[in-house]
Amino acid sequence: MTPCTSSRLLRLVVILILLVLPFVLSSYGLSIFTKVLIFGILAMSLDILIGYTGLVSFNHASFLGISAYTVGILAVHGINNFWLTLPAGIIAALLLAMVLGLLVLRSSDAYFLMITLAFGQMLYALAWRWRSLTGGDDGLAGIPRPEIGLPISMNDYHNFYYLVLIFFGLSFYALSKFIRSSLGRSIIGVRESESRMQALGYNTWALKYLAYIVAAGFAGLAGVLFVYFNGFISPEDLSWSLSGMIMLMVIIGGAGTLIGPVIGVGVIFILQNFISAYTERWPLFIGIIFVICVMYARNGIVGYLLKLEAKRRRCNESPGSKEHL
Amino acid sequence: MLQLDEVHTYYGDSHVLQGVNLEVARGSVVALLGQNGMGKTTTIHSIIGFTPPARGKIIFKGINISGLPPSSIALMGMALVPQGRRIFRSLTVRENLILGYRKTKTDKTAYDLERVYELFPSLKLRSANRGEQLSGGEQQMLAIGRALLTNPDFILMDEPFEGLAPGISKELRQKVLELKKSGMSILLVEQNIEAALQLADYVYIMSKGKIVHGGSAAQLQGEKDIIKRFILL
Repeated sequence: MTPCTSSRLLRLVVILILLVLPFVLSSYGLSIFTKVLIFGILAMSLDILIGYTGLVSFNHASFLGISAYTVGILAVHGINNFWLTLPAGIIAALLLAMVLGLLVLRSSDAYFLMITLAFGQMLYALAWRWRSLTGGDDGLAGIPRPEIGLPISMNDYHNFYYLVLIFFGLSFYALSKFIRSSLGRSIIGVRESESRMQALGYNTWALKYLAYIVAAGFAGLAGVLFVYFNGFISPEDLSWSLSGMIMLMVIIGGAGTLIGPVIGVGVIFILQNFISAYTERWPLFIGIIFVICVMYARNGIVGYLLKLEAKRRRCNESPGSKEHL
Repeated sequence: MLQLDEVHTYYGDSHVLQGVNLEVARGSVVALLGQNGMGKTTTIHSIIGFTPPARGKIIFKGINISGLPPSSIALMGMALVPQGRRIFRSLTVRENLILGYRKTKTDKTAYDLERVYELFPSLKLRSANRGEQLSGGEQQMLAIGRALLTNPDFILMDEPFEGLAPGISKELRQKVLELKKSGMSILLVEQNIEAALQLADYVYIMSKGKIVHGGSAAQLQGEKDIIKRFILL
């Protein structure tokens, strides 16, 4: 079997598993998977910045948060049509990125990380303080599941799972197309060497700005789905700890691989749920996993698997090489 | 094509280029020779805009480009083949080349993917391989091919033959000679005097941030003491 057919087969199997999951899992299990898919979109979008553009952003929760708050505020005012709230949430995230991008992209490396962290915390403080709009630290509760204009109730967790799955699939497809496009390749060029791209005539600032906005748009989509999933939004969902957690998921799964961050989300959420049944000190175990990854799999789980696969292929191509060893 | 007039460039407090004057005529290959640390790469970086000069003028096609961003300078028709075969390692050969492609010319001198593959057939064979999987020689061909695809009028080459096996170096020199014959203007930074004398029409020698000698390649060949003093260690 060629690598191409085996990867196509693997993709088909994964799609089939995702489709039949609601028939196999309990409602609790399915809710974890729904959350994995939502955060999977968020992690993939952060991967566009960390893994592909080389921008280690520490305020990705801001885009999820502003979108979720937009949808929450609309819901509080009785607007719950998904086809209105969805674009509203995404546009809010895009607008935030357009403004923030102008400010944060003046810096790079550790300074970029620090300035994004600072803006993230400012938005967190704003959500905390602006009680009349955001409900302050009480947050906005009781956000109902959306109406999608079809005789299908989103209160049914199976239906909601499929809605999330559709958006996850579309996001994965769109982001992989984006990465493979000439624009996506230019962004990778910026990650590898900004000065080399400039010497080829590229406006690298504009490329980074665009990547920042694209990433925010998908984080906004995750925000819309998240607030409907959770039924509740609070300043915690804008905080640096959530941004840090998503970053950890991207790194553990494998930055720069698109599917890696989704696996990172899955591993962390599933472990979190499994370990927290036995002990409250689950972050300790997540910490251990992170240390193991840093020591033995710096490119994350998927990066490590890809390396193994490449090694296996090299061995197969040159059977005599073993004898030399 | 290019003229540097009293160019002074600093790295922080360090005064690296101390009044550099040089000229590259249209269609000529000019070599900039000198030992390590004399300011050759800084000269290239000042021209392309990575380290803008504090004083002096850099005139390219009649326009002072000193202080312009590198992308604007590149769009005016200047290309860079950076030192150390700096290609995009995680992209394929084809992707590396396409990143550079700019269709600014329509005549038969214009470079497209096929023409670069004709010039460097081994790149065509390796088109699906990632940059990091190429040999040193192939990486250098890729760096040159990528620069050509921007369809420049002028190329800056920073030690393109450095660290290459003699056979590959000879082959690449031949390719640069072909470029010269096609009328391309090139500023070639070199440590290797033999390569410089083979390719260049005119040679400048740099020492401690200044041009200490300028003359035709043929002229320099006779000046053994200059070669000994400024180039050979």
